[in-house]
This record gives sequence, C-alpha cells and structure tokens, in this order.
Amino acid sequence: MRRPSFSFLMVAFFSLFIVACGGGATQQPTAPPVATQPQGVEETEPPATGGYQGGAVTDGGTIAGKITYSGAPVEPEVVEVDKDTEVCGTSLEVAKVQTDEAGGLANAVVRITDIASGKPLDSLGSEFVLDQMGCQYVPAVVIVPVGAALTVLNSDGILHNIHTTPFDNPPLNVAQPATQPEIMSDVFSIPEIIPVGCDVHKWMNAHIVVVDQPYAAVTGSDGSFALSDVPPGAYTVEIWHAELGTQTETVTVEAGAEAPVEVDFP
Amino acid sequence: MIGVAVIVIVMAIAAAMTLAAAPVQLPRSGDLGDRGIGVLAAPVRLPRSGDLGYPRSGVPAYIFSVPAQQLELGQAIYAQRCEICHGVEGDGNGPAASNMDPRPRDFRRGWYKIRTTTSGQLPTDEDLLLVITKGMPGTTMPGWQGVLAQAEIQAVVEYIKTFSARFERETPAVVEVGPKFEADEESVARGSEIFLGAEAECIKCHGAAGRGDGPSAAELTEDFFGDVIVPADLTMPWLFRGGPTADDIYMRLKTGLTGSPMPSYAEVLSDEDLWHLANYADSLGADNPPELEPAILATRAPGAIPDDPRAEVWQEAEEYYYPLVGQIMREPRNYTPSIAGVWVRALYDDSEIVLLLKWHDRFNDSGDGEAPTDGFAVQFPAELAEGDERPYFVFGEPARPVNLWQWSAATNIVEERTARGAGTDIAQATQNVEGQASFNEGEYTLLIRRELKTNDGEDIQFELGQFVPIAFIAWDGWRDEQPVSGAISSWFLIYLDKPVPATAYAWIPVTILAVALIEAGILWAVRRGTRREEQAS
Repeated sequence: MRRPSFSFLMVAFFSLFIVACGGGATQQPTAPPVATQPQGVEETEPPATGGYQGGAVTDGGTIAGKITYSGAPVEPEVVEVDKDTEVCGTSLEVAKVQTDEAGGLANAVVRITDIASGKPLDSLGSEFVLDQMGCQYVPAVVIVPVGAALTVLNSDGILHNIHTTPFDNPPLNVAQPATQPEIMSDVFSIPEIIPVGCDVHKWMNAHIVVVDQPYAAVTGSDGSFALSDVPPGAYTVEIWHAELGTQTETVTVEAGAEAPVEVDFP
Repeated sequence: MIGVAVIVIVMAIAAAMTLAAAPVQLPRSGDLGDRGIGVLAAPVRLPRSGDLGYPRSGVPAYIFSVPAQQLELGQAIYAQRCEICHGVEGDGNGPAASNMDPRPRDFRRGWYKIRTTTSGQLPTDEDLLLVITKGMPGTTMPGWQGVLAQAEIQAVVEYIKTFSARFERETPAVVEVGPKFEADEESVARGSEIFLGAEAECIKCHGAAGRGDGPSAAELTEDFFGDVIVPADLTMPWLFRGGPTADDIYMRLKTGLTGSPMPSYAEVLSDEDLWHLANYADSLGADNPPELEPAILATRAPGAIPDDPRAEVWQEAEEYYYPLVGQIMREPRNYTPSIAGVWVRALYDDSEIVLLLKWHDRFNDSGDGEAPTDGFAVQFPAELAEGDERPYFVFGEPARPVNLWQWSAATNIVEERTARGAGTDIAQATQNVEGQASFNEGEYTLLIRRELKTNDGEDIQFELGQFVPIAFIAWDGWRDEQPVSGAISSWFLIYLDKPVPATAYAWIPVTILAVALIEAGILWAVRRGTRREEQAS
C-alpha cells in the first residue's frame, strides 16, 4: 500500500485552510422574489383646486351658527414639563376638545367646499399669524389663503422649531431660537389642512388650514362662527375638528338672510 | 515536474473552493438586460392619487416630461432593486421594511433628508443621484455604485420622482453655500458658543456633549410616521446619513433634515456662524470609526489599578473600539439595535485584570419596577478549548458554555453568569467579579475587576501571553431590549501582555537557525516524496 504522498498532504492542508477562511465569509441574505404586477396607466384626474372667482357680492346672505360637542367630556392632556420651565411652567394643559359650559366647540373649522365664485380671497385679511406663547400655539387653528405667507411669532424667547407635515405643499422645518422672534413661512399653493408641531416641545400642536376660497372660519370659544357675503345658492358646508373629524351639512343661502348651521359632534 | 503539477492542482482547488465559499454575488448591471425585458414590456405604472389616509385635495395624476423609455428602465430597476424595501407604491413599506431602523423612505410626499435645497424643498436630481450612488451610512440603504450604471441610476431617480406629484409642480431652490471658514481654534470656540447658547440651542436635542441626549431627546420617540427617531450622536460622525465632514454638516444645518425633527438654521444663523457651528460639530468626533483591532492588548499596570477612569494609567492605556450589531440569530431578535459600539481599555497587575468599558446610551434607564433597564455584559468562553475552537458567540451552547460579566443599571453591580445558549444564563454560585458604572451625559463608564485566577471551575482563567476570546453585549432599556435581544459583537481577543525577558533576544539567532533547518527538512521531504513517486511509476 502506498503511503499518502507529501503532495496529497499539501493539497489536504490547503483545502482545510480555504474551507476555514471561506466559512467565515458572511452570507448575504437573498432577497425573496418580488412579484411585479404590470398595471395600466391610470386615468388622470382634473385638478380639483383653483378656479375660484373673486368679485363684489351685493346681495349676499350669511351662514352662521354654532358648533357643539355633546359627547363624553375629553379631559385635557396634562403635560409635566421638564425643560424651559421658566417659560412653559412645570405643568400645562393641552386641550384636545375645548368646549364652554353650553357645549360650544372651539377651534372647529367651518368652510364651504363647493363654491366657485363670491367675495375676493383677500377678504380673509392680509396678515396671518401663528404665535408661540407659553409653549403653546396661538391660535390652535389658523386659516391661510393660497398665495399668502404665514407669519410665525416666537413670543417665548426660547428655541422652538416650526415643523409642518403637509402632503401636497412643501413641508417646513425651521429653527426659531430666541434671536428670531418672527419668521415668514413660504407661500402655500395648494389647499389642505397641515399639522404643525414643535419637536423641542412635543406636546405643541396646531393646524394651518390652507384655503382657495374665502368662506372659511374657525369657531370661537363658544362654538359660534359666521360666513358673510355668501352669494345666494345651495352649498355644502364642511365642519372639521382635529380630534373629532369631519361632518358636512347642506345649506341654502337666500339674499340678505341668515342661513343657520347647527352641528353637534360627535 | 510533479512538484509543478502539485502546485497547479493546489491552486486550481483553491480557486474552485474560494468561489464556492464566496458570498452571494450581486448581479452586475449588465445582467439587467434579460430579466428586464418582461418588465420593460409592461406599461409604466404611475402612483395612485387615491386615499392615503390624510386630508388630500385631489391633486391629479400627471404625465412626466421624461422619455417613456427612461421611466420604464427606472421602473424595471426599481422593481428589481428597490421595491423590497421601498415598496411597490413607493410608500417605504416593502416586505423587508419592518425590520429596518431607520425605515426606508416613503417617496409619496417628496420628503428627503439629504438635500442641497432649502427647508422642505424637493431634492435636486443630483441629490437623489448621490444618495443612490453612495448610500446612507448608519442605515440599510446601500450605495449602488459599481452595481448600477450612471444612466441606470438616473432612470431610477426619474422613476422615484413619479411617486410624488410635487416633482411636477415645484422647482427646488438650491441653497447658497457661503465662503468656508477653516476649523481653527477661534471658529470651533464660536461654534461651541452657538451650540450651547440661545442662538441655536442645539443642546436641546443633541445634549451638551453632543451624544444626542438633550432634554428634548426623550420626547422624540417617534417621527411623523410613528417610527423611532433619535437625535444624532455627534461624536460618531461615521454614522451620519449625509456624510461626516464639516461641509456635510454645514449643508445639513442649512437645509435641515426633512421628515426628521432636525430643522433648518439657514434663516437663523449667518453663513459665517453656520460654518463655525459645523466646524464645532465636526470637532466632536472623527470622520471614520476607530480601526478595528482583532485583539485587545491588556498592559501591565505599574502599581495598583485605580477605579478612577481619569487616572493617568487609564488615560495612557490603549483604547479599542468594537461595533455592536443587533442579535438576530436567536429569538427574540433585534433588528434595530440601539447601542452602536463599545470602547474598551484593559490593564492587569500581579493579581487581577481590570476592564474599562464605555458606551453611549441616550438615557439612563435604571428601572422603576417593571421598566426594562440598561445593561452590559462582557462574554468569555468558560474555558479555553484546544486550538481555536470557541463557543457560539450568541450566549454559548450546551457543550461549550460562556461566562458573562453582566452589569445591570437596576442594581449597578456586575454579576458572574454562565450561559449555555440564549436565554439559559444563570448566576454563578460563587461570585468573583466586581464592578460599577457611572452615567454622564449619554455615556456609561463601567469598570470591572476580577482575579486573574479563581478557584471556581465555572470561570475562565487568565494566563499571561495567552489570547482569550472576548465579546460584548449591550442592552438599552428605553428601547425595550431584553436579555436575548441586545446589541452584540462577535468574538474578538484579549491578550495579557507578557513582559519580554532579556533571554528572549538570544533566541533570535536560534530561531533563524531552526527555520533554516525546517525549510531544509521540507525540501528533503518533497524530494524524497518525488523520488518515491517516480520509483513507484
């Protein structure tokens, strides 16, 4: 019988070495196959925005009324503050659903969703302001027409950041330290409701309601609102609240008269 | 003759086996052709503008002004390379997405972190191209350079843009880069002033030491999409998504990181101050991680080893860095580990070995009742095996147990445990280690002592001049990391430096002689083997 030759031993030795080294190499996980479903080109939709015609309204009526909340009371969120306590306080209440004794719901947005012409868009005003006071936004809901910028004030004198999370408009996230009491936002070009928050004080939140027609209002502390100079006709009115969602109401406006809208959440 | 043949055979076998053992090869860009054809024939799928779960204003779908062929190529590559993470709909919800931290980008909103455009603006094509080409450090996004050709990446860029209608409407505004200020002492000092002071209050999130542990950090537990998001640890710039240099940091300060809490400071600070701030942030950490050394050299301390890590002997000891990864071998797995790595120093004296460990953790979770707590463990084999055999690095195995020197923030003591597999660890009957940790501004410092030799049969014993396998495990209580699902390293080595006796130098000529003799012996053996084979034939 032949003894294993030296050359065979060499081969065996090298093989072992290679196996040892190769075994150390990490195996990359292979991706499971992803099925690709060919799909047809989807139909393009006509633009839903724009096209509102502003002008003089002489025989307009008013949509006015009160938005109420009759559900179980929603306790405000109590935040224990552990920073900037000299400005924010040590504890503060963040109202989720703010009502008065009569159930009037504050900070709901009432707007007409199907109006093609009426009073000019700039009748909403020319200055739109969101302030940061005591580590809360004032107001909690601000209406801004398309094409207008929002002035963001920092009355607190500490660092906040204005962080918006829109879908259609460009988002914004800018620092606003004490040295910067006033910042102008970019112009909004597409109507949508945009959440605003501060990452330094996570409890802070507000909403910017971008509109392309001027018939929009935020309810006051008693839940009341009024949309004036509405051309006579039948309209859909949408009532939106950040926590309670959306309801719609159909309203017919007559010249010089008040068309009441009373909506109760939930 | 046969000698040459042997070498050829060995090389051939070696080549074959190397190929067999090589990791899965990524397909080259040329491979796309065949597989792409079926997909290319399909019509381009544009994103739907249906209900996405938030107020929408009915933005129309639209047709892009790029050549259809390019979009088709982009779609084909996207389907092959990107969909697994970013999803068919571009929503960042691909089949692999749930195990990723940070999550893959949701393309539908046009929110991109790494850009050269002003706050909230869309990225430029070049921005997207660069991220796809280079990848994003500290995330699962790989760079596709060398895999995809430039034209293919460009096609993917065009396709990705179809997921958000904003690309059709908006033209991004590129920021203006102000003249650069060099990172001299003055610039860094001014940067520090801005970082800490009211002008920017960076410390609110990033903390005074820059470890991402500021007072607001604890609130940033979730981003807009509900995913965990934490302020960057500025002392580890090699994990920065957009690159580690002062230029990169300047750009991030200017643009902000859209979709994250990091805002833009473009309108708040002057260009000069932005450079100072970038220079200061850049000074907090090195661009690259410390080089990975296979072995920790424990040196002999001149006297008693102090507890105080600031002591001179500790300051002079060599520091080693070992990255940690999520433990994904055993249930429960951790795909999103919190602790990125550990810094280690080791000293020994006549009687004991002492380890000094440092790691970054944003919060000190020492536990109240049921809350998970922070922890750390150093792992050794329970005994050294013959050769180089080691226990399984994930808590050992039944036949080959491991020692764990395990510290818990709940008790702030180090306990000796023995494990024979994940979840089997139990405290040893005889405790021989002691240790204590301190927590300061997002950094733990843990000092562990043990006698070099113990009388405990369950313990690893340390000899001078011997390599001992060592591994590390870290747990972050805040991230609910439990005994098995921590961040873990593979085996490295620790070596207790043996002082060289003077006689060692005499051995040098002896060694040379011995090597020569062995070589002669091998030569002789080969020749004899060759002769025998010749005789046999």
